[in-house]
Amino acid sequence: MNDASARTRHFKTAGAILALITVYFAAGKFGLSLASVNVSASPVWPPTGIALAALLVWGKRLWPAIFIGAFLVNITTPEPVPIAKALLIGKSFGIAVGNTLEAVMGAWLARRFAGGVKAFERAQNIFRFVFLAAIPSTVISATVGVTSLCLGHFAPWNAFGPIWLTWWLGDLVGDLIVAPLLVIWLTHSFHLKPKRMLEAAGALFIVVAVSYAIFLEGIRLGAANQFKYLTLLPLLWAAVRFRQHGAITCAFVVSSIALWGTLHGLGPFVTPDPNQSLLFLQAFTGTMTLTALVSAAAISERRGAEQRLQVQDAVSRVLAESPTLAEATPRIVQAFCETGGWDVGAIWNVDRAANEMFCVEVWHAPSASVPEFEAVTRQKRFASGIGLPGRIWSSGEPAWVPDVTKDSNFPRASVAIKEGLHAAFCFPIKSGRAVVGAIECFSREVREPDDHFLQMLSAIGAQLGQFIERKKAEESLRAKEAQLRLVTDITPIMLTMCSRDLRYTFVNRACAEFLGLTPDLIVGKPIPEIMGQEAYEKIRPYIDTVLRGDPVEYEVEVPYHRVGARWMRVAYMPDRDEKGNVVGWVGSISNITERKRSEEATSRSEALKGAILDSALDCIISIDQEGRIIEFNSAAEKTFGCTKAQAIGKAMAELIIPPRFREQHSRGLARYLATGEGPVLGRRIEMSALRADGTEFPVELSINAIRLGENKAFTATLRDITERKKTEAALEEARAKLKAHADELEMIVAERTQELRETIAELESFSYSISHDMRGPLRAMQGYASVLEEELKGKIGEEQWQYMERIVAASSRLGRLVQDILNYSQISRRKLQLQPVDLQAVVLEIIQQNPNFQLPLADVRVEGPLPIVLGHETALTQVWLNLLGNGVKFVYPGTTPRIRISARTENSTVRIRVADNGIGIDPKNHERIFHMFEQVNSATDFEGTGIGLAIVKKAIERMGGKIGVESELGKGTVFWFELRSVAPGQADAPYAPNHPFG
Amino acid sequence: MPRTILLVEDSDDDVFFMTRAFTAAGLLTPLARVDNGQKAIDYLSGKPPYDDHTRFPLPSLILLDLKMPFLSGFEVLRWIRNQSGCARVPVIVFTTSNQERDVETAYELGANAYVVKPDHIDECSDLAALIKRFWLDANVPPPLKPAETGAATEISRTPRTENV
Repeated sequence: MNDASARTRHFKTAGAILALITVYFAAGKFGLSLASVNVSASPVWPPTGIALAALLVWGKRLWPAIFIGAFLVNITTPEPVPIAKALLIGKSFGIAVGNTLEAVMGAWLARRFAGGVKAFERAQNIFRFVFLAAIPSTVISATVGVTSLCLGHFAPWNAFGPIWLTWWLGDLVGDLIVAPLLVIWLTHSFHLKPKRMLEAAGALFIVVAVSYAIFLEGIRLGAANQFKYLTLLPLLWAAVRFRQHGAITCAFVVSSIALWGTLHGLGPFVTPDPNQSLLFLQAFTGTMTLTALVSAAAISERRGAEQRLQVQDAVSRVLAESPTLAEATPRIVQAFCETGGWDVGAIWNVDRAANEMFCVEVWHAPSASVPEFEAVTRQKRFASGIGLPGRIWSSGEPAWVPDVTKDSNFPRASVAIKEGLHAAFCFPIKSGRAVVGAIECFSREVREPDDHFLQMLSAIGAQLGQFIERKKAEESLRAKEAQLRLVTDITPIMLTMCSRDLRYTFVNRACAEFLGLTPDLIVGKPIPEIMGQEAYEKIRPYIDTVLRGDPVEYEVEVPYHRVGARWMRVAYMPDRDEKGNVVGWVGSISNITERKRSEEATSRSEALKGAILDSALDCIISIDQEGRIIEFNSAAEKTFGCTKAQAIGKAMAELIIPPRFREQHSRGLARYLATGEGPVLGRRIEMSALRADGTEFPVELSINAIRLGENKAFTATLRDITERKKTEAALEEARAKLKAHADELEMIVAERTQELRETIAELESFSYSISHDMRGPLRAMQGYASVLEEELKGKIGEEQWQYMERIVAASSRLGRLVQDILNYSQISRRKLQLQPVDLQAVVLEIIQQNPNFQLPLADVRVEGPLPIVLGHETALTQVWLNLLGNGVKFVYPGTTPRIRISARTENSTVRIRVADNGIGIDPKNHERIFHMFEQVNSATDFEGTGIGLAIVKKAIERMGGKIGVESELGKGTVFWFELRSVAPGQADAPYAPNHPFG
Repeated sequence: MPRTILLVEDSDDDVFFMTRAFTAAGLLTPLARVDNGQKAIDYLSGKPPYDDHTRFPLPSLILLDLKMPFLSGFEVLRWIRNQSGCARVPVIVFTTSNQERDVETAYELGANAYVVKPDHIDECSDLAALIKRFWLDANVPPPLKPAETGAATEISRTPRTENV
């Protein structure tokens, strides 16, 4: 405290002391004016009450005032008998001391035992006040005072008793009436609503009226003495309706009126002895006042309790209805304010990060608008210990501030003053032991701390704390639930929980999905409804087992009515309550349909494999990488003469490989396993194998390596080729013989061919040379004959001429014959080199060169272009000469020969048609005409050598073609021949035809 | 020098007919004739009895038969073409053979033409006229000198190129 405020305080105290001295003195003088038994002892002594009230309200530092006051009062008391100054001072001193002690002790005792200024709030405290504070303190005062008097010879010792009694009673009643009056009015605010003012006035009036009637003998009833108790009734009414204020005020009025009456000889207390009268009066009024005060206190207490209950109730309701703390707090504040009669409420939260408290919400009663205070509150942030919320945060206990404007730790004081806020309370919201927030409420009145209320606040604080805890627990439970659900939903295994009454209590996501439903559609429903009656019947025995308390596992095909029949693997575990009774079960279910199906497929394929192996004609043997037999089919059993059972597990090398090959086999196997090289793998090999009886036989085998997981294995297919070998041997022998024969034959054939070739060559050369050599003399013959013709023309006779002619003719014929033979032999002889030949060109050349083939002798025409053929030009020339020659020759006499030549190409064959209008050929001669020297017509009709067509046929055939004739007697003839065509692009420039002379 | 034809032909009949034909065709100068290959070589070499150049002039054309005794026409032809003097003399192979082989060989050896002997006499005269008109009248023969060597056995194996 700095000097300024200390000085102010001292001034204030000084001022207060002075004031108190004045009042005390005045009141003391008044009291002593009523003293009768002794000038210093009065039955009506207000100063005691004033002193006590002053010390209670303002503190014991005012005690000097009392001392001085009392001293002054007594110093100035006129004495009937002159007394020594020293004694007077001594008496005054003693009495002052006594009074001071009384006040100080009384205040101390009242504070200690009766709640100080709150003594009149509770009935209990009132009695304590009376018996533990007022009575003891007044006893002291009386004792000290009277003793001082007696010591100073101001009163005789034998009057100690009565004087003491007077003194004591007077002080006591002062404590009973004046002290409460002052204390109540000074420390408790009194608000009256307008309509109650009327009632208050009414009460006061009645009190006055009754008092007047009784104490001032307003009603002359004679036995007014008996009716003095009626005054209690209006007092009680005032106490009930207006509580402490009403009670003490009315009590004071009654006692004042009664005093006045008694002083003036009116009322029921008047007795001849004035002291006695006043004593009776004091007793009465003291009792009345006490009664009224107690009633008022009792009513107050009850009201307070009611209110607190209401508040508690409202808060509980709020907490029950609010799902979260955030929703609850404003409503709690509202509840406080509304039910508690508070005007403004605010909620604060702790910001741990910033280590401050901040305002969350401000609420005010509709009648109390405090905009500035609200604004300030919303903005404010308090550190721990600062401000009302800060205080609560640091202390963790509720606090009550009767008047915030006078509070040292209230930063918002200035605004509070402005807005007229005074009382406040604040209590913490705790979560466990930690303060998480605070709620504060303000009132426009100055309100004394209400212990009950503070207790309630603690209780509410605890409630809130529990609420928070509960919410946290709920939250954590929810979080745990969510976690659990996460876990149960992730797993593909289906999890269910069912109760004893066969209903689902929990299904995870996998289960719901499997059934094609959602969990909420399943939980609570009976099992048969969800899976189908048939399915339920199937699993019922297992349910019974688990409900008996035994865990059970099973695999069964369940005919679900929604999803169809599925193979399920199920495990049930009984669910017991805390007493151990089975209340349901937990199921863990997997859909093993796939696995079952694949198992079935596997066993089917195993069966198939077995069937294949056993039905195979070839032996199939498999060995593992150690060389031990793992498969041995029935064909192998038959071939090797041992059973599968005997063979399995044995080393193959020992069983079926002849001893001399075993080493090789082992090495080969080892090498393959080490290096992966297996030259014998995958190929057909022939080997010797060993039968069970020890005989060897040849086999053909093929080995393949296969992988079985991490290991290798080998499969061999073997065939007993004994028979085959025999057959092969026989075959080989036969083939050798055949070859020998064939070789021999070939040799013979070659010889013969050679001979033949030689013969033919000779023949051909023979015929050629003959023909050729014949031609010489022939030519000579013809030549000379011609010469003779020329020279002898007209010189010899007709007959000789004829003879000449015949010679010429004959030699001509011979010449033609020879020529034809020559042609034929040439064509036969030579190997014809085939070239592309332009038929068209050849024909046209021939026609052009031969007048016989031209008009007017013959009508030879080529119809359409003749293609290029593969042939021999000379040969083709022969062909055309002969065919055209025949066509022109073999006609009816007088007919102009008409020949039409046409060609048709089909694929790669050209068919040439040479059609004439000749005499035709009898079909029976169609073969003969192509033979050599065959003439079907008589030589006289048609001259010919009979070789022409043979030449044509030979030539066509030598060129790889075919020739034929279509004809009937008298219907003309069509000679056709076929040759290979040559595509125009393929042909080289064909040779120009060469007209052979000769 | 009048243009002469040398007929190398062993068949008298053929000679008769050809001569007659040429005469009919208007050949004024007589046909020279030798009846075998060796004589042909001698003639062309100017060896006796053919050393008289007025009676046995170098021909402007040779009609060469193939089938002859002693020396075949081919050998004669080969000899002719290897000569320095008369190598270029036009030679018509005149033979009964129409064998392709013979044709090839003839041309290979350097024959100027190959004619197969006609069968009929009329053809002979046509041919003769043709030959005369072309080879004697129209064609300009190469300048010739008598052959240096006359030995029939000496036949150069490698042809010698010489300016004739």
